[in-house]
Amino acid sequence: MTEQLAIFGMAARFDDEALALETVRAATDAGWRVEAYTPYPVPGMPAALRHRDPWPARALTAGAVGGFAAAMLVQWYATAVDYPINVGGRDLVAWAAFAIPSFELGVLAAVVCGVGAMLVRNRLPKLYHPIFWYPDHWRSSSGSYVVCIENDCDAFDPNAVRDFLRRSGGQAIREVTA
Amino acid sequence: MAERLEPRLYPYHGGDLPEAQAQIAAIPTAFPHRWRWWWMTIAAAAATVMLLIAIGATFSEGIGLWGNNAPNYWGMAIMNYVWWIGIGNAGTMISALLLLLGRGWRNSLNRMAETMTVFAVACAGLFPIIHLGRPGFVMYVFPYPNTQDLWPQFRSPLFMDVTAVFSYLLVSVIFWYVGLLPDLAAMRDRAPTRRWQVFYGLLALGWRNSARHWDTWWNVYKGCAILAVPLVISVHSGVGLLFAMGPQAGWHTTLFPPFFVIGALYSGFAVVAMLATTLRHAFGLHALVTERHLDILGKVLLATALMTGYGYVMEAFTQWWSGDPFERNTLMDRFVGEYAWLWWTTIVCNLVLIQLLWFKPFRVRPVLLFAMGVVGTVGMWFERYMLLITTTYRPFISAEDGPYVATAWEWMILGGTIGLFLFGYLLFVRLLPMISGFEAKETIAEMARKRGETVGAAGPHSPASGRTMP
Repeated sequence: MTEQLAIFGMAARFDDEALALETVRAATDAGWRVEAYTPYPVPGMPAALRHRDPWPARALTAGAVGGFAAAMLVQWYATAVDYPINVGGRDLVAWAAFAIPSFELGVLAAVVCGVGAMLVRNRLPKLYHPIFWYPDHWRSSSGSYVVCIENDCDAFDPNAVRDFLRRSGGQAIREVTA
Repeated sequence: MAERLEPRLYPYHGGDLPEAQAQIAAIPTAFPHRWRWWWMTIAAAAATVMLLIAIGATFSEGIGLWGNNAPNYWGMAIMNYVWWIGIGNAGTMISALLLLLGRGWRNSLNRMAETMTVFAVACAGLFPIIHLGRPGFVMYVFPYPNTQDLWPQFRSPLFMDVTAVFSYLLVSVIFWYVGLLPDLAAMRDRAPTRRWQVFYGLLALGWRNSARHWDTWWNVYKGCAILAVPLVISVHSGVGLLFAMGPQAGWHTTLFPPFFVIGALYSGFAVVAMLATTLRHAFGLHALVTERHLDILGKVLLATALMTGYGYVMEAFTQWWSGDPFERNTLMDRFVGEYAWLWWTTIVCNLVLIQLLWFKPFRVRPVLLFAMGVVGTVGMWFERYMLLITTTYRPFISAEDGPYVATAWEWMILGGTIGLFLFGYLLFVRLLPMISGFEAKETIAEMARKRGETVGAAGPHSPASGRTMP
């Protein structure tokens, strides 16, 4: 493996939210693959990264609909097909009564699917990640913002990236090994 | 898309927030009250052991050990269940509804309230199972293909209730943990020793504060909150329907579902008030839980108490207005009957004493607010007792009348669940951040943005760093 390939990316620390946001925007515009690490969801950051992930919301919705439908189906099957009992001529399929447990299970399925999709899309749990080697990464959970321009093998030129980060006002600029 | 275009406003914080936020994160690793914590935890563990003993005795001897007997089939087990699950409701309301409404003041209280929900619902869930006497019977309410070819009765509110509580417990735990993930990562990053680092690192699942992760996470968190609000309402409405769907005098009213939901919120906010004032005092959280937080908490407590009071009035009115002799009989019985002291205690607590919250000192002085929390919690316990017993002890045929007196075993189980709750809560206080750290950081950032200052460590209100460079 060459030294070039062993580089995961070039990371820098920013102590100013606006500066980090600007850097991410400029780096994304320059065509680099960028990732930012922030202590809280920074407004505007997903747009700056051009990140948009509709899958968790879709999974949540699908879970809600699927959970509700599955619960209705079980109740319908049990009362109308598998074991129908005529109690004073009442409807076998009491959909109004069935809707309540179905709602509860729909919520449960939605939350499980949504959170599951969040973990899958974020590729968690993943206890190891190269960015943890960046010595200032831990600061991204207190007051700093870490921006990492990742090595995607084509347009990645360590010197150009280092210059860019320095010009943008980044501190503790380091190569992050893979 | 998780773009929040207009900043949420946080007018309720004061003091040195960044310092306070760093202090929160340091509590588990440099715990200030080690000995006191151990004594309290040992006491709570002893109460939990008492719970186990009482449950063991109940299971081996049967529920003949209890005061439940015809016509009082429900007794303390069910009233405690209703009480506990009601307490849980307020936690979800604080964390989910106020999140969606963008009420910033919740950020200081949501973690402690959510944790309260998790343990309160766990305590509540025990009661219906213990009440069966033979816990294996609980399997009868789950629809699974069994050897007896039996299905549960899907039309019964019992089935609604089981699904509601079951879903609610799981959803509360998931929502709590997902909200905790970023904070666990922050704890890992500041951990002073390798052991703490591994502990939080494993729990944080490798969360690395990635902006993409935050976005996805926020979408899901918000989605869960949207679903959690109607879930909470349905849970206690379902409990209300357990009572209201039968023909018993005193229960058979459409008022019950909303009346139960409001009463649940009231008792839950009362417990949140107790927890918030206690933790604020014990750990010096004055910058994060300010007097203005307590003030708002007091106002919400008063508002829910007034709505509950409206419930009492309307309940009495509909019983009288129905013209039904049994309903009127139950009503009169509540005023002057054998269990009138329950009704009057309820009224004194929830309708009279709670009015003290109109006076500002009772909202902002922690001791007084704590006392109001006790009033609300105890008042709601008496209310559940009153609602249950005044109806069951005199059914339609007077030959069946029978008083209900709880036995020592039942009191042991009630005390034991309080011990279990405290045991869980003490572990939480010891090991996990009790105030949401990233939301405190969000608050700091938004306050800086509002003032036009630099946001982040370079700004004048930078979060104190908890560790030197490695």
